[in-house]
Amino acid sequence: MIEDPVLFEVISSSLVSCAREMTISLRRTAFSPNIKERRDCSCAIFDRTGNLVAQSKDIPVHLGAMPRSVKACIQDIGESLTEGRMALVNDPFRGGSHLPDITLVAPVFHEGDLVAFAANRAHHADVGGSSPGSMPGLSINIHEEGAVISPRIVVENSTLMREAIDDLLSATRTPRERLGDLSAQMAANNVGLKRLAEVAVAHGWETLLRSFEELRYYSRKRMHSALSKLGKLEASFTDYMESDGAGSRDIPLSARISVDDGMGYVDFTGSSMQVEGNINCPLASTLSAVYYVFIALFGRDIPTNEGCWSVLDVEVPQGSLLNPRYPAAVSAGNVETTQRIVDVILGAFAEVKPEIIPAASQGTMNNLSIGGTDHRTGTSFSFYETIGGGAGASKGTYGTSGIHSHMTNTLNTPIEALEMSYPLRVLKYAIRRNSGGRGGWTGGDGIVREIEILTDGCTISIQSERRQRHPWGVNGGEEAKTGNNSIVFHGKEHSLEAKSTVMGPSGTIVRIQTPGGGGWGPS
Amino acid sequence: MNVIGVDVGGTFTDVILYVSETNATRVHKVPSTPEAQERAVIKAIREVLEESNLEGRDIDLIVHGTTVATNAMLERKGADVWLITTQGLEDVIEIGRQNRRDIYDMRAQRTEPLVPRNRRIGVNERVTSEGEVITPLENDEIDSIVEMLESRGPQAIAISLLYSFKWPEHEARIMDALRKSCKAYTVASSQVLPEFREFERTSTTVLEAYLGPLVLGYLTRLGAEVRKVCPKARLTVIQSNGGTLLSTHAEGKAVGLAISGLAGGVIGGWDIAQSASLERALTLDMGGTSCDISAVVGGVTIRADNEVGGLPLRTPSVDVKTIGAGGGSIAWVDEVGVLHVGPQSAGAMPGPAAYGKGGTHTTLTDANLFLGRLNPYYFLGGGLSLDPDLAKRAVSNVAKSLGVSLERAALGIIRVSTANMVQAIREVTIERGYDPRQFTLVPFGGAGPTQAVDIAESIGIDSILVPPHPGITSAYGLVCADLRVDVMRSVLVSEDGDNTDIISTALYNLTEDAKLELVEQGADPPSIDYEWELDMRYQGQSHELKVSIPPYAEEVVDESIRRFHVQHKMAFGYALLDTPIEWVTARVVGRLPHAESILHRYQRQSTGIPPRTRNVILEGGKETAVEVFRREELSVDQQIRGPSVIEQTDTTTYIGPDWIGTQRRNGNLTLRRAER
Repeated sequence: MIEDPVLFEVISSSLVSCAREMTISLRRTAFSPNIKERRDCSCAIFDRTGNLVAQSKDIPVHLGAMPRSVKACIQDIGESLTEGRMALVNDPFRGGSHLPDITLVAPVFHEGDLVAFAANRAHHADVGGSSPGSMPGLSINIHEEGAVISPRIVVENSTLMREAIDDLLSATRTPRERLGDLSAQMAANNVGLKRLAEVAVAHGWETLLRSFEELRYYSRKRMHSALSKLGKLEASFTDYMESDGAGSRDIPLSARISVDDGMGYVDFTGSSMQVEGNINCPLASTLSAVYYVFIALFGRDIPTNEGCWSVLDVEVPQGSLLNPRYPAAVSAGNVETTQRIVDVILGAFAEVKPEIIPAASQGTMNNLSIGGTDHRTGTSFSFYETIGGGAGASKGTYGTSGIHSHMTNTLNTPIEALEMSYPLRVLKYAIRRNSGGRGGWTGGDGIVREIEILTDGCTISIQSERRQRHPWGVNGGEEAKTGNNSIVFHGKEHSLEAKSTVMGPSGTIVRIQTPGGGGWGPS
Repeated sequence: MNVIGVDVGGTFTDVILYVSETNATRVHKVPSTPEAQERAVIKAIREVLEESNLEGRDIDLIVHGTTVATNAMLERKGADVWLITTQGLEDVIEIGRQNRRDIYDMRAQRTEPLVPRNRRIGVNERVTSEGEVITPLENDEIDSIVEMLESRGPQAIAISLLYSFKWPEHEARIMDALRKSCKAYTVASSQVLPEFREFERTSTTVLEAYLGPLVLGYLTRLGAEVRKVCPKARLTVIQSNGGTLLSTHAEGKAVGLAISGLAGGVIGGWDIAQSASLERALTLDMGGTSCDISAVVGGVTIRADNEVGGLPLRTPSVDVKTIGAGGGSIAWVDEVGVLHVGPQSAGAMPGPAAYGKGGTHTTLTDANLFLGRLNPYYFLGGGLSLDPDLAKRAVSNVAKSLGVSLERAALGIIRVSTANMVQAIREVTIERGYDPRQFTLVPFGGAGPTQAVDIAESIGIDSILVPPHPGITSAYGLVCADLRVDVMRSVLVSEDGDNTDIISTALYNLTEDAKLELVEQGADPPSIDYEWELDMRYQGQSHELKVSIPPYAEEVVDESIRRFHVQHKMAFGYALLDTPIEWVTARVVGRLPHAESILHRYQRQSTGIPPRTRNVILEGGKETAVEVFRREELSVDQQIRGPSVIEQTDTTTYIGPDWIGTQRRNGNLTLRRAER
């Protein structure tokens, strides 16, 4: 089926570099520290039906979920998505994941025919809602989490139309930053369109479009052969979300996995029904977590595209925690619940194949948002970051300390960038020694981060997990220490819930200690 | 100007002497002395002077490419560094940026930091993002640090405090106190990399401290020795980005020499490619120990950052990929019975088994000798005689482990080593979206041309350009490199501020700095060319676009704004006309172009040695008598059909079946794949 193997690889790599250049352009032109410094954004190329063709290796939780956004745009407004236009979407029930993740989709035309899409997703530091950062500790309805936007055209003649995003700009606390970031997203798609056209000129459109098919065929075949090597296996595992922020605790998440004849099956039947709080995880994000695990375990060197997951069959009951119905609150689902989905699938594999499975990593992203009015300028600000922790150890490998694991791979916010942009000061930023689980191979340590607030009346929101239930070890390895959130005011430390939203005056210190990773094998 | 270029490789130290008056060059090679690189450098200079009947005082300039820093990074043999940083942030260097290199890597590891935790000292001081001191640095604090460090006697100290690029005084005070009482090589981040982002600034400063003592010690020793031989010569070193640096000015700039030894090869290879009017060249510099590969399209690419041995480098460098593949690469069979070649090398001592210096490992050179590609009596022009029996014995060891014939084992060694290089070529071409088949391979170094046809065949390249003196192309790159100085200054000015005049002041001052530095390197001021650049962004962005403006432009501010909007629109498809612009960094490049091409017209030099034949084992294992030529005997446009071998003092070119070689008037030898 693949006619010219060298050309195939050249084109395959060219498509990946298209996506990579999109990402570089996006962060080079972005305004918010979360995108320009932390690189909380992802870019990819899709075929004309919205299937993933090539991606830049950015943020796993974005990548596996983006095809659904592109497909929602095609379905809802495909006909009006003409040349020079781009569509925006963030609605978790229309192909989105959570509201801060805004996806911008650009169609690619060749001689009047739609041939592909370039799209990117970026996490905006504020899209409105009840608390700055749009990642509230406690929300029970999607509309408390910010502006909900179903697919709509926002770029016309390659120009961002402000009137098309009026609702977003009036909902957000930081409209200027949003415009800057949306322009950057437009830039990324522009660069994608330009580079894709260059690849087409170099090899011919026909060859390029045929390679889309070849890529999917190739990745499917390789994934299939990787799974075939496992033979037949079956296992199940249950882990828990410790809280939903609205009062429910120890919410079960169960997966039954099986591999047979080169095909993988994951069944989440038995997991909790959707909950009142915001840990509900939209289907796109759930699938994204499943795809991540299978690619990481069996297809690291396979080009990532739709072919990789065409060998997977995933069952997620409607109305469950992992496939919730409108108007469920979802803001923590995408960032926290997806980490647990990874744990559950890895946990199941560890029952039968412990030698290839790492112990649990920190199992949270430690989402921290701080917002209010900057007394120096009189303008609103909204700071958001996630904080790394310990990675789980594997057979033969110690877990790394202070690193982002599994579904995210953002960078830290440099202290100097953070303080230049916000009325905040970092007092401590250190490895949390001895927080990883002991074992034949020790898990990685978490991080201690202390941020002082320098302006009055700030809202602090935290979405975190693994504050009570420890990241587990594998094969006799010990569990890691749980994380810990608190605020310190006038020298007194006050403990905070894993999911909280609180107000604090100037001088409040937010202290986050992130969990370690589990150990592997007996000490 | 009489110029000497000296390039130190893992196995040989190459020297080229260029006399401008006669446009003559002379080349020479001596074995490297890795334990003290300067010994081979001086020996090579002395010998080339002797050979060309010149006196040391006739030499004006020596341009040097060194691997001292590279080796220290690869082998982790730099100084013991102590780090002084702001209290509470001692782990910044260990945490890095929290991300993993590959998102799907569940076992992601991080490079061990160069400063272990017990050598990081937090000082009680704090400056805000505006550069305002909120916790002053007390003298007592400095005294206690100095006292503590005095007792430990560190080799090197890096000082990196928060916001030192805004408020360098705290770093300067610690530095002064340490300099008074401590002999350690001490550097401050406000001098090494005065930019925001604490991890990048700190790790670069630490690397400077790690490399400084070695690099400066080496350059000081070398400088003293050079003065004895060439009393009037200025000694400059080539930096990773191809710029030149006076050896006495390297303090605080050691990190800029991280891949000094690789820059010359890329520059030299590309210069040769340009002499043949090529647009796309794959330079492949294969010596005894390693192989350096660069894909050049239209001009040498400089990357803003790089990595050596897992250590991040925030200094500009030539884009080149290095792998452990050279003539001395050792062939070995693992416990499963799979054949590997490299990355370990037998180096110059003991060298390949065939050198007869006690080496017992089987190397690529042994395989080539066994296959008949190399002439045992004309290796390095006969300067080193090879022992075919020792080579055969070495190859038979591999053959025995593999359970195959000697022929298959030797061919297997070539094939495996070729595959390693092809993988590196893929990384610099295919992975960046280039089709390698559209490139011309420019093989050089002592071992490159011997294997060029194998490499080209396995990746589908059908054109090869062998330089006139392949063995010394890196050194050639050093003498044909421009003298170039890059200077920069942080300006941080906003369009809506009232201090935009500091931009042009900075550019004029930098121009003066560049001029002074180049004059010290021996340039005549009127012949210096300047480039002015400004790093600019929209207020709110934190990455800049580099905007070039004509040197000595009248309206620097207006001109750069106009160009920035246009460039932003070109690159990203939009311009934000109502958003204020910021200038972040002013840069000036001063350049003294090398006046003329030092490649001369090729002239046949009869040695009186007629073509001979020799048995060579070809792919498939068949032994065939092939013609063997001397390179200098070839006439212009003479066509040589493969299989055949062309020998010259510094390398051996193997022309495979189906390939045709042609000696060109400009000195190059081109190989083309014949129509099949």
